[in-house]
Amino acid sequence: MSGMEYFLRFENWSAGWLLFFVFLWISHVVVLKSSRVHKVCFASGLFILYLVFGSPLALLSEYGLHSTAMVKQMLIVMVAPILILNGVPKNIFAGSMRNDFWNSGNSKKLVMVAWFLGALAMWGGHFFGAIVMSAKTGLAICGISAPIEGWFSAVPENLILAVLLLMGVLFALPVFNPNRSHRIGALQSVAYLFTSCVSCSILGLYVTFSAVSNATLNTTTLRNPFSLSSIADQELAGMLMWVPGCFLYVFLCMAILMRWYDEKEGQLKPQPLIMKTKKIEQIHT
Amino acid sequence: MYLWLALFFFIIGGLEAMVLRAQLALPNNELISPETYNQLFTMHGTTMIFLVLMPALIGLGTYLIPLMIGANEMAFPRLNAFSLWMTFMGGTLLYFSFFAGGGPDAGWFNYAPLSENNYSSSHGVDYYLIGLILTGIGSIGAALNFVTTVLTLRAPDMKLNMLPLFVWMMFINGFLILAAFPLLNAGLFMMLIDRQFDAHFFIPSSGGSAILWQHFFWAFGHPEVYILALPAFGIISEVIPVFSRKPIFGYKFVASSTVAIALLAFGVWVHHMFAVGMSNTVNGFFAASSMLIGIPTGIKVINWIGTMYKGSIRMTVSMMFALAFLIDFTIGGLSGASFAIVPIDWQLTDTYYVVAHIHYVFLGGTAFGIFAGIFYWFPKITGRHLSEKLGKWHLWLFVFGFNMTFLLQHMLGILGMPRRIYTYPDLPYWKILNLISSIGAIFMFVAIGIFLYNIFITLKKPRSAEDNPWEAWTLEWSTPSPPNLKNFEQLPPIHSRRPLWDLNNPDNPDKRLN
Amino acid sequence: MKDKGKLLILLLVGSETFFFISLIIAYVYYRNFTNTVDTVAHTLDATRAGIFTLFLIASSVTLIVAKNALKKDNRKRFKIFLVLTVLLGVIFISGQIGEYIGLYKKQITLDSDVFGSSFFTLTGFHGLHVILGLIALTIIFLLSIGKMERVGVAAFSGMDVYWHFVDVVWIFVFYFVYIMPLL
Repeated sequence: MSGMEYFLRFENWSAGWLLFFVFLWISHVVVLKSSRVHKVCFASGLFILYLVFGSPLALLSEYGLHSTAMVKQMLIVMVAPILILNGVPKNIFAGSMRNDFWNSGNSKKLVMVAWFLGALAMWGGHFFGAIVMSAKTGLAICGISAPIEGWFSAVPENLILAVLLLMGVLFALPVFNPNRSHRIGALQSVAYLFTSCVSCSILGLYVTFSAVSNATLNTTTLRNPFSLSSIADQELAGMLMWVPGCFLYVFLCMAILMRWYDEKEGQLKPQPLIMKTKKIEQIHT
Repeated sequence: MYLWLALFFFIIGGLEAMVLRAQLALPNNELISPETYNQLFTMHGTTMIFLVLMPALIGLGTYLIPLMIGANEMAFPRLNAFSLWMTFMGGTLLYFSFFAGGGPDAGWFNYAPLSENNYSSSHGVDYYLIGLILTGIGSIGAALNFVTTVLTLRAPDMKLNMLPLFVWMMFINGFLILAAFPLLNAGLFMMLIDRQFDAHFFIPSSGGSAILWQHFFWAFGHPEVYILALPAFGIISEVIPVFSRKPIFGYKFVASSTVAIALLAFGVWVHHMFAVGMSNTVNGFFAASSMLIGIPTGIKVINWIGTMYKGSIRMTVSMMFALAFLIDFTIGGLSGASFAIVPIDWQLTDTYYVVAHIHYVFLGGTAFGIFAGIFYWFPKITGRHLSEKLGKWHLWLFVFGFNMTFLLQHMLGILGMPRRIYTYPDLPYWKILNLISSIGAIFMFVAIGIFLYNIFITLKKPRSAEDNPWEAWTLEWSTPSPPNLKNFEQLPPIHSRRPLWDLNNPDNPDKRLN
Repeated sequence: MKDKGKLLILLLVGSETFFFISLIIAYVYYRNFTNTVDTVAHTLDATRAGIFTLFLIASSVTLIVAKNALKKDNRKRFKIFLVLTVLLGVIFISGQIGEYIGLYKKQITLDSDVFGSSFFTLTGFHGLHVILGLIALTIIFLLSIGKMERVGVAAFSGMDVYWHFVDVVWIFVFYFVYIMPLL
């Protein structure tokens, strides 16, 4: 069966997950007062989650394909959190403890924590996910192999993905907080995203260029539907994380910058990056 | 001082090129030996990139950034001086190699293992390595200064989204330099340790990897070409609006596409290594990313053309160089985008097609931008106008000669002539195309001679320029020409991107941005 | 908020990060992706290096204490902890030097093989940065006891960023060079 057919087979799409997400979306519409944009964003976010959990993509993990695991993790850590955060109205956190914490002077430390959570999600998620996948399928993923009898094989992959989703949301909060005034400034957002991009790129670099030496057998892994050899699979995984991943970051930076240039007076936050400037007298005609 | 340094090395680098073209004018020529030829092309490339274009752009930035943001000086003046002298020392050391047994001769990107001890036993390569380490440190210092100055010394009313585009581009460029030059320095140090201490980084026979040098070099090298292009874009973004009497079309697009270019610059370097033999997956992805990086630049070109549309154009020499830039840089960009297609790259790599491409982007792009900037800001910096008449001779001869030399080299590359060969057999069309190229070089030589003469006689004239001869709108034009030692005693009110327009047109000011 | 000195050091630190990333990439590459046999790693004493690492980390801690003392204008405490920082840094460097001497005696040098090259380059550049940091800290200390008794927080705020950076880089270097071969 070819890849195309694999995706089109009806039974490869999970009905249970579909119902779950539809239920979530209906609750969102009913409980929260959200605008149309919010509804669409939230729906898209949920759709992405469905793709990760309930679509044929989810089943492909059985074949031990590094690249599909990569796609899932990218969707879960980067794409879905942003869509979800864009899909909730801004006062969703109002009155909660988080709000007060943010409003106190600790916001800078929070931002750093969030950034590290994101980095941890990516590095840890990959590392841990590779171990679990290796334990379950018996293949060496990117040079990492774990024994099948170990406790790793008992860890449900969905649990890892759920934790990653949470960490992804926390990571995205400083830049995509539904409450606009709690977001960090535009240029800091670009710096925040760019530095995470560097971190992801390093791992992507490693995964890509280690493919040739890490793959012990240049064979097709477990008769997967795409006839990918293990070398191509690993290179694909690294490049997916790197190139489309970076493009996503660049695209987000562009969107943030364009919005920043369009901001009218009054909506501009005081730029924290303006430091002590020299006092120069001004003429006012 | 940066500009003088650049000019000095420009003359040297240009003379090197003249000798190269003389050698290549005819097949089977024996004007210079192969060893000399190798040294000449290596030094020509290294000089032009690191000792002419970089210092010229940094020099313009150092002079103009404080003026354009309403500051009185750069944030760290002594660091500024340090950077200049490091660049100077690096250049001196590089050229000292000629007196110490021969210059570097492994090409300006100095591939291993050719550049390692067993194949390059003279010290030329060591001078290259150390020279570039020094100039690299100088550039990093300059970049630190740029970023800090823009972030800390802006006039209080000037928000970051109100910066003149030249300043914005130099600001983003600063980050690019800070991220890219360390990669080069790491590679240079490793190769220096290889050569001096018999280490094994890049020598395959003892466990090293020559490809790693390529990765390090091009991970620097590709951002470097954007480092050279962005300031030129900034200059053009200042010149075209003023001489079209219209504000720049789509400021936010130009500004954000700059950031896109800076971010993407680090994700395309393997396209210099398509012929190395990496897998299709890797090549494919880098091909895709290389094609995509053309988009932001294309956006800019559209914006510049859009600025000119329905503007009232003033055809000064500066503007004419900007127009020449638009045409020739676009050609260079297109030939570059053609390389993104891997099979085409496999056919054309290391041929004269590449030479044509790089000269179209470096000369047709950066150098034309610098010329446009020099003619534009000369009155401000020196208080005198460069002669428009001589400038037009310079421009036409140079543009004509430039296109004559390099346009046909595209053909030459497609016909298969490899680069870096000191002579060639008498194959069909090779002789005539090379001859035409060399004649074009003579035109460029004469044009630069006129340019130098122009500078010389202009500097002897008394100071006569007004504050704002071009009726421009950014802050540097509110100072006397040349500015006083303390740039600004007072600043005009700054509420938009064109403060001087607002000042002169109080009934029709730009939209208020702060 | 940040002042221009601290901003400068932050940018410099960012730039140097890329430098060290390159060196670490080279090291990881030679460690994992070449067929040469690793002759250096088994001769490294991770425990000993670990102890010296603790000294370096301690120096970062003393520097934080010094900074807080300076902010509260407790000059005496500031000077004491600054001296402690320099001292701990010096101990770290002497540990490095001792290690180099030991390796040299075992005839492992820059040119022994790829690992010798990359090990000495990576740790050597780090050591160089530590030494530069120590010089700068010493200068600040001397400024604080000399005629210029007042050392402003601004002058100091850049230095502590640099010192913590040097510490963090070492932790990564320590992991890649000493820990990873043991895994």
